[in-house]
Parts: sequence; C-alpha cells; structure tokens
Amino acid sequence: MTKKLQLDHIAKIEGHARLNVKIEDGEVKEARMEVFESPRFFEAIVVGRSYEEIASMTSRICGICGPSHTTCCLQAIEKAFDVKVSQQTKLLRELLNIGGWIQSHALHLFFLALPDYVGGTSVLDLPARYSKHVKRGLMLKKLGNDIVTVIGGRDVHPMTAVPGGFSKLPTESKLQWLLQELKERKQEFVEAAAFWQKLKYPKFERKTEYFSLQKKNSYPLIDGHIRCFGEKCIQTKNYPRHFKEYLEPYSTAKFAVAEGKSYMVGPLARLNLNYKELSYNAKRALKTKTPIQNPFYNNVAQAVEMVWCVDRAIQILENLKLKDEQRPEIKPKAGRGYATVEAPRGLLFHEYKFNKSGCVLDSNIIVPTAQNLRQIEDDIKLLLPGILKLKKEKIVDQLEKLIRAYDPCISCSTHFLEVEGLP
Amino acid sequence: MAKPKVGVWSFTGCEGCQVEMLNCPEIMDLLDKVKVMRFPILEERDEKGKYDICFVEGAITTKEEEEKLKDVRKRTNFLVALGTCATYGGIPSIKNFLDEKKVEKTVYRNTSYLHSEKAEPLEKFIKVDYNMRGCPPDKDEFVRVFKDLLLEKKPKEPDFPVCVECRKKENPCLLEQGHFCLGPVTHGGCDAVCPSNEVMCHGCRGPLKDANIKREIEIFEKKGATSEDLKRILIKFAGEKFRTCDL
Ligand code: SF4
Ligand code: SF4
Ligand code: SF4
Repeated sequence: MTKKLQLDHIAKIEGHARLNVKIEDGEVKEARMEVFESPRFFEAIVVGRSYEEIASMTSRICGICGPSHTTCCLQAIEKAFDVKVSQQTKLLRELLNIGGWIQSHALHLFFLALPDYVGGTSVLDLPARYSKHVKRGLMLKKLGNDIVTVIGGRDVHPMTAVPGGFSKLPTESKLQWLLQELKERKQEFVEAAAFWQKLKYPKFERKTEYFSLQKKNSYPLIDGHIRCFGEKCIQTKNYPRHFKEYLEPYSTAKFAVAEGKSYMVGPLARLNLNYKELSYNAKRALKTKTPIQNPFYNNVAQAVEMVWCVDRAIQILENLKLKDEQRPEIKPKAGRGYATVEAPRGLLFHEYKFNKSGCVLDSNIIVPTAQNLRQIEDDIKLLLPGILKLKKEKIVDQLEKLIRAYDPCISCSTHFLEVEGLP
Repeated sequence: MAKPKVGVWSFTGCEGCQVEMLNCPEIMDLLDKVKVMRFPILEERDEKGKYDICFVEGAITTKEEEEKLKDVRKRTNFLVALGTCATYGGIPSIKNFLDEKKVEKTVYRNTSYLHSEKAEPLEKFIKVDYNMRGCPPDKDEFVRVFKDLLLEKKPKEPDFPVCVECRKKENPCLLEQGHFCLGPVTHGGCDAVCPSNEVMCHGCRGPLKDANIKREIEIFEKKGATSEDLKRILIKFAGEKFRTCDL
C-alpha cells in the first residue's frame, strides 16, 4: 500500500518549502524537500554590474545573513583584482560576521526552534515559564544587532563594508561601548548554552560527511580551507569542482552534492571539525563529546558557537588599535575571483568573472541551504520508518523539528504542516 | 475593546523586512497590544477571516501571489506595503529589464520548468494604504506607523528628499564630490543612513513624486556618467518608476 505524506509549507524556516514523502509497505520510497519560492535570479541580475555595487545587491539574497554574503562577495572581488586588505579590515570584517552569526543563531534558537522543545505553537504563545528565555534571546539578538550596526552602519543589510575595506570606520567610543556591553552580557551567552544543552533531543544518528572551513589556530569564520570530516572524505582542493549543484523538477532551489553524496554544512559541521579551536568558555559550554552525529544537536552547536562569538569579539575589541588608513587602490582587470566564508548556516561560496573594467560577466553563488537540502531528505528517510507508528501530529512535529534543526534559510518556519495519507 | 487583528504576509523578497520588524526594541510590547494572526517567520496560525491591519513584504512575481494578494486585500482594513520589494519591486525587479531567457539560463541550465516572471510592486494589483519604503524599512518609521494605527490615526508618509536629513547631519555632500548620489530625488525618512556612512544613496526608498529626475540625470552626466551608468544607477530598487525616463 502506498501512502503519501505531505507537509505543506514548513514554517519557521527561511523561504517557502514543503515536504513530500512516499511510503510503500512501511518503507520510505521518497522524501522530497520541495522549495517553491519564486527564484530571484541573483546570479543573472549581477551580470553587467560594476564590482562596486554587487556586494550591496547580493546582501539582499538573505535578510538574515547579509553580512556573510557581503563579505564573501567582497573577498571574491578582491581575489579577482589581487587586492590585499589590511589586518584592521580583516578584524572588522570578523566582527561584522560575528555580529551576523549572533543575530542569526539567536533568532533561530529563541524565536523559531524553541517552541519545538518546550511546547506552544510559536514564540508568541510559549508557556509562561519560558518568557525569561525569550527575553534573554531578544537581548542576545540585540547584541548581535549592535555589533553589526556599530561596524556595518545598520543591523539589516549593512552598507559600510566595501571593496578594499570600510567606507567609514566606527568611532573609538562606540567600540568601547560595545566591548563594555559584551563583557557585561557574556554570562548570558554561557547560560543560554547551558539551557540549550539541557533540553531533550530525539535519539537519532546518521553517519554522514561534514564540511566546513578550517584555519590554523582559529575557529573558522571568514577564511580558511575547506575540510571534510566523515568516512570517505573527498578531496576538496578544488572546491567547487567537487560540489555539484543540480536542479530537481520539483524545486526552484538548487541542490548540492559532493561526488554524488549528501553532506552537512553549518554549526554542527563546524563544531565536529574545529572543536579544538573553540574558546575555553565555549569548550566548557559543550557537554557532549564530538563528533556529534545527531542533527538535532545543530541547535546545541549554535548555542555553543554564540559563546565562542562573544569571546572572540571581546578578544578582537580588546586588541584593536583603530587607525585611519587609506583603502588600497583597486585596479579592475579581466579574470575570475572566488571566495568562501562560513555563513551562520554553513559554507557559502561566491564566484565572479569580470571584464577588464570590472563588470560582472558571469557569477556562481552556492548557499548553505542548497547544500543541506539533500542531507535533510536523507535524514528523513532514516528517521521516518522508526516513527511511523506514532500519531499523525506527532510524526509531523518530529519531521518539522528535524527540518528546523538545520535552520534552513528562515522564511517558512511555523507549525503548519498539512499531512495526507497517514493512518 | 477587542485587540486589532494583525497579519504579516511575505511574497518574493529576502525577509529582511520581517527581521527588521523584530529588531525594533519595543516589538514585543507592540505585538502584545494586537492579536497576531500570522507572521510567517514566527508562526502561521489562522489565515482565514478579516484583518484590521496587514503588513505585506515582498514583490509579486507569480499569478498565485497576485491572487493571494488580492484575497488579502479584500479581507484587510488597512494594508501596509512593507519595504522596497513591496513598494517598487526592489532588487528582484532588476530582472524585469533583462532578457528573460538569458536570465533563466544564467542561473539554471535546464529551464523548461522554471520561468522568470516580472517582479512587480503591490500597487500594480491592489490599493495600498501606506507605502513603507526602504530596503530594509526604517525601525522608527515602523514603530510610528504601528502606533498611529493603534490609535486609528492615518499615518503620514515622509515627503521630503534624503538630502534634508543628510544636510541636517552636516554630512559632507557626496554628490558635490563627484559621486552619483540619488539623495536629491529619493524619499527621505531613513535619517540619510547611507551618506552618513560615506556611502552614496542608491535610492532604495524610491523616487519622490515631484522629483526633478531630469535635472538629476543632467548633473550625473555633467559629472561623467554614461548612459550605461545611468541605467545601472536607476534600475536597481525602483527601476519600474524610471521606465519612462529618457536614458
Ligand atoms: S525590501 Fe529589502 S529587506 Fe525587504 S524583503 Fe526586499 S530585499 Fe529584503
Ligand atoms: S550626500 Fe547625497 S543625500 Fe547627502 S546632501 Fe549630498 S546629494 Fe544629498
Ligand atoms: S540613504 Fe538612500 S539608499 Fe540609503 S537607506 Fe536612505 S534611501 Fe535607502
């Protein structure tokens, strides 16, 4: 007997998506993440545009990880034109991206994922005893906003990061204020991580491959080499040649696989590959041994990363001696440039081909969610048979919870799934 | 008195407008004063019935979105177009000016089942009661409009150019320095946040109704802008509004 399960519109994630599952004689034959969001054709609309304006355009791919797209785009431009940026610029970019991680992780943990673990349909109707956690979440999110605003000029789609550096530097007094705030609130990050560590996660493990950047003596953020952790890791020297993107007729999002297999990117992947580079407090916050193969623990990984974020931000701010410096001169030339950064949700890749006056001829952008979609499908195929006996609502809850644990780009996350054909 | 029913809708955009709503420091207090019927990134409760106030984010790119929008309009007393995608088409509308087949091919090799449709502003299909421009919109403006609506007061859209706030802040003028700043013809209300950060205004809040665009174009041309430059500058956030310009 064939049964179909359809989760229409997965809420509390970014974008519009649904899940379609086909079950035959208790076996999951098919699990499809169908993304039906209207494509916005970013790779095409940057064609013909000058290198000076494309970062402000690609930031609009995502209202949550604008700093990541901006930084990745700028680094690809600089690579194409052999521009070396100063150490100060690198540190400010790090801060900008740390702010972005905190914004994104706090939003996901406390607004989107929390109801999955403590009940309630959304953050607006959580049981009263959790209101202090939501308040804490808001406060952490605000700190992320503050960092991005001080460094980037605005909390959504910041504008000061430009090719070669920053259009305007933050003032010394604002940086001091930020440092003070972070020091005062540091303990809140530690407590948030303890809270997420204490929640109950479904028992579920699947061996897979994890990809993230890796950098000597530091947790990966805006640079490093791509590394893999898993049973049979592929060589990633020539990323993205190994990562193939393809389309499925049922989806407007691209899917990515590494040599034909699904893999995971994002906080859990970073943690599994870079545990030893975490700060002392972040290491202490993690009570589970790595490698962690349970995707639900992606939430724990986010909370632990937030502790690292605040430690690293304080470290940068304490040592930063801001000086007014000239941005390096940029001489456009024909050629290609690419860059990878760790966006909040995982590896992000931008590549551009320019003509000699610095206008884009061609571009390729691979976002983290595209890389995780196949991974989510494979997880569902393994998770579902074990829970098929449960009531329909429970199955739906569990599947949504799994999908949301991946924090797929924000637009569709709520409790919304229409289910068909279940007993 | 019953709490006003409020809904947030999201069409084609980056969801940054919803995020910016949540970034307002007083957002939880504001949401407490209303009954939130739906807010896509937070929850999706009831879709049916009437709404007192709706905030609609994103451009309209498909027939389905158009139908949905018209349905929402019918059930809504006061409808706010939230952000530049909703008020002008925004960044997604750039593709309205490109060759469709080429656009599809660049992003997807096999395009037989994918179609690039135009990204249009809400006003093309329905009556909008308030245009909250900006990519993203300004938090202070959002809070002001929200509070006005709670008091059943009709909020007023800013009707002055970016330059007004920019001069008040005594920023050095980027246009005078030779940059193609769109401040003189663009809706203000953002506290001139870009020029204050030494980035020229790229017109995300769209052209003012009586703006002298011809003159702005002449100024740009005098400063060396080619017609290709002009197209790039104008066809960005509100390209549809400049369709009739002679470039
Ligand atoms: S107006 Fe800007 S911030 Fe809002 S959805 Fe569109 S691109 Fe995103
Ligand atoms: S910098 Fe731009 S916005 Fe400011 S006064 Fe000059 S033209 Fe107007
Ligand atoms: S200065 Fe111009 S581009 Fe910047 S926010 Fe204001 S209207 Fe938008």
